[in-house]
Amino acid sequence: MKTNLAVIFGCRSVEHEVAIISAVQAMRAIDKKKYEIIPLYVTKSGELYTGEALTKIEEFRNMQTLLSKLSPVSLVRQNGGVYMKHLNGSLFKKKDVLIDVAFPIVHGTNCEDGTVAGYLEFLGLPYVGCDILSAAVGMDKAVFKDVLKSAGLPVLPCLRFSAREYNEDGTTIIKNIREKIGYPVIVKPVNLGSSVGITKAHDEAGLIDAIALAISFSDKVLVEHAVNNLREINCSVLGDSDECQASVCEEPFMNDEILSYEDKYMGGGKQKGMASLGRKLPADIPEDAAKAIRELSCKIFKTLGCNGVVRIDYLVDNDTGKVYANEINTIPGSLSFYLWEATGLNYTDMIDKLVSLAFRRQRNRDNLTFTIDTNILSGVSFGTKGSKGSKI
Amino acid sequence: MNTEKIYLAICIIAAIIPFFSSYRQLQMLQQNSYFPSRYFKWVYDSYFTQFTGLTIVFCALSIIIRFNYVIDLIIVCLLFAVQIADAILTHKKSIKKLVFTARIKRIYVAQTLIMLVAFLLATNTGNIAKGVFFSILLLLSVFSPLLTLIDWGITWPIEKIFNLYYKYDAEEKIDACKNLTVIGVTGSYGKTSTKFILARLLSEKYNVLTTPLSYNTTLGVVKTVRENLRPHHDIFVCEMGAKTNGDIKEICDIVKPDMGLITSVGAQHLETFKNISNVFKTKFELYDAVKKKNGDVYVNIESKTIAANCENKDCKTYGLVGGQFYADNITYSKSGSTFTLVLETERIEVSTKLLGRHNVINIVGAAAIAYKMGVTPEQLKFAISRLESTEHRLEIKSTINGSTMIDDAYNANPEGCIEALNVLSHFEGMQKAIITPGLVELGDKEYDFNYKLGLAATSVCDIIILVGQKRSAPFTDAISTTDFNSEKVFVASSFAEAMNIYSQFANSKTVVLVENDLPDNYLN
Repeated sequence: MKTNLAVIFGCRSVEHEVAIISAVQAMRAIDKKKYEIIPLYVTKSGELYTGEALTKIEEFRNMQTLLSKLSPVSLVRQNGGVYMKHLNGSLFKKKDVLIDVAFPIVHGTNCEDGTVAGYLEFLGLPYVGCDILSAAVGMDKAVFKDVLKSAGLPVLPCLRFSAREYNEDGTTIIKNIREKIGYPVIVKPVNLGSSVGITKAHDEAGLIDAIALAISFSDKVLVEHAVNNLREINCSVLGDSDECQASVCEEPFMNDEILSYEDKYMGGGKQKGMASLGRKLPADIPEDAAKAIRELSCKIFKTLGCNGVVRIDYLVDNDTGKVYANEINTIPGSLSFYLWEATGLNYTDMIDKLVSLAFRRQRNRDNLTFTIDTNILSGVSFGTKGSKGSKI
Repeated sequence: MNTEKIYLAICIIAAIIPFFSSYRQLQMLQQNSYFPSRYFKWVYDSYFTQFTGLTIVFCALSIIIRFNYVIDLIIVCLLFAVQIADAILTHKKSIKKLVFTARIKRIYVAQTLIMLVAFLLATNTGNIAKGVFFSILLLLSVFSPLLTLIDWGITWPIEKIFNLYYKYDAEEKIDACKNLTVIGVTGSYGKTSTKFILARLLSEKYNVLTTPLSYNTTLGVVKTVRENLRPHHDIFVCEMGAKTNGDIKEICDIVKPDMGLITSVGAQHLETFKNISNVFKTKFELYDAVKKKNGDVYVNIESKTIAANCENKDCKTYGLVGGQFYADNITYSKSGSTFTLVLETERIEVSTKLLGRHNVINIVGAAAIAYKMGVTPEQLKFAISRLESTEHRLEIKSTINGSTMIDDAYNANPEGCIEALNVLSHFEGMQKAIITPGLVELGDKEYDFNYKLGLAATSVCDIIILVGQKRSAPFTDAISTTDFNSEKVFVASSFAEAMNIYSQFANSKTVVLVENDLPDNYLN
């Protein structure tokens, strides 16, 4: 008997393809002796499919052929469990499959932002990774910074505005940026991952172009001060709010001034995801600085109430040595497995650990609602004419 | 019309009628847990009163109709209509409807076969035999309890085979889970609460499966294993109940426990066990099974029978004093119990909402096993503080004027009442009250016990409120022999009145014990 592990990936997101790469990598690493993998692919239009073909990356080259090999399914809760039901075929329908635990490997808005977590919470299915709140906070760069700021953790000054506000009074916003933040600045769409739509602006002309690009991706834009002499350092955290540990740090290489979507996921032309990206691992920083970043990472992880594996990206000002938390990926590309391999945990064991964390969270929840079984509505009715039920 | 065709039509309708008429019968058979004796009690009590007239009319007519197939056809058609209507009405009106389980489906298949055979015999045999089979067909068709009994009889051996298969399947499933630790919990009293406490403590570290509610028979365990055991489960906490010798062994043969916990050996189910030594032997079948796997068995030495008989056995003992695992410095207050949990060399200060000696003992036993399984003292301390009490069993609540209530309404056992008073006596510095109608259904011991309870109450309580004029006699008799202030003794006619009286005294420094009564309806 094996644990039925549903790997949910794809989704209506600009990072759809990236998620496919991350998920196929993960499915290759999952211990097949212990887990029965149930791939659940969410198409760009939001439909749910399963099939053996989903475990091979080559199959994704032609979407039409791939879909013909798959069968549409749906998740339903019945008899105290969550089942995958096949939607096609009436007489010779395939049997419903009981799902023990779900493993969402999705990136970006409409999924990584707590949407999938909410869907799974609604079904009552244990799942790997961050819950609704931590995922949502992690997705919104401005809220993320606000939360960290109020917890006394280091972030760079920033300004946020909506596309509509910019349209109405762009000049004031640009003035504020110049005065309160100062050039150079980084302009980001607020809720996209994978560095999509992010540009650096050195002057007003650059800023206007940068804002135009950002608002084409998102309703909200975040502008923050750019550190001139900067290094990017990333660190991954694994665990839950009771117990977590941080990985070794990495320093990703930058082609342009910012790590772009092409760098992150299409490095070298071969689609191998984050794992194949140029980087220095471990990052070439003093041990005490690395230790400080690891400790800060655990603090951020707990502040947000994260679960599973996340990657936190930092900006280090080389001139001052100060470290600023820049963003968090609550479902990092390639699940940051390369950072954990470098820390001494292989991918297969790491996934096993993630699944046990999912069950642990479920246990803690079950323990809370152990005894509430009585129906307070039994015997209650509205006071309609002639009825004798008790009043609410 | 051709007689042959009419005859055929009658036979077809007669063969179809049971599909509808047996709905109600199978519903009752199912709700009587497939015990034919209980089902026939229902037939005798209810079915006959409804259908006797109809049956008699039919019997009389069946003699006449042998000579006239047209009348026969009309009667059969009428019956058919009545049965369809009855089945539909029954289905719509019943609160607890017939559930089409696999077993019911098998019974329906058996019934279809029976009716098919009867139909073929009635339509395809020679004249004399034909008459006999025709009568049988009609009888089966009209008198559904008879058909139901035959259905039950035919499917019974099949069900036995299915049960054997289920057991085998459960055993296979347990064997296939190589990393699963099975912990058996048995005992005359306290096994269900101990099971839940143990599961809660273990869940700090492990994925735990428990037998739900108070499922503790072989079939209950088999059902749990087959339906709920999943590979991610690390531990299966299995409650094992026994009504006769060999019951525990039967469960152990399936689940093969690695550890065991015996909560008590007492005088329960003596009608089947005959004597307490048989109870002891049966409970210790768990011991034999665990020892086969070189596991540890934890026994409650506060249970006298266990203490007296386990000396020559290799048991780990737990209790309140003297065991290897015990509770020290027990105190009770309005936030619950606090005590020092002693687990071999480890001493842990714990507190819990649960009150009373038996709860403390159960926690010690469960903690001993959880500790052995590697749950850390910090985790134990946390989990124990999160335990929830069972409703109306020494449950702490707040009530009128911020006073405290110990709701022990479901307690109907003499030892438990004395223990509840003992818990109350520990609420130092507080004004103590009791509301009780006394215990009932104790037969000729009732007066004596309630007299004793009355005496015990005078030494603990400041206020005594009795419910029921008549029922209070043994208490007032007992109280009058002491120097207890008679102005603090009240007799109320209902629980509501008792609460009214209590409200005059209630303040934040008052605690009231509600013993053997149901306060819920009055709390709001």
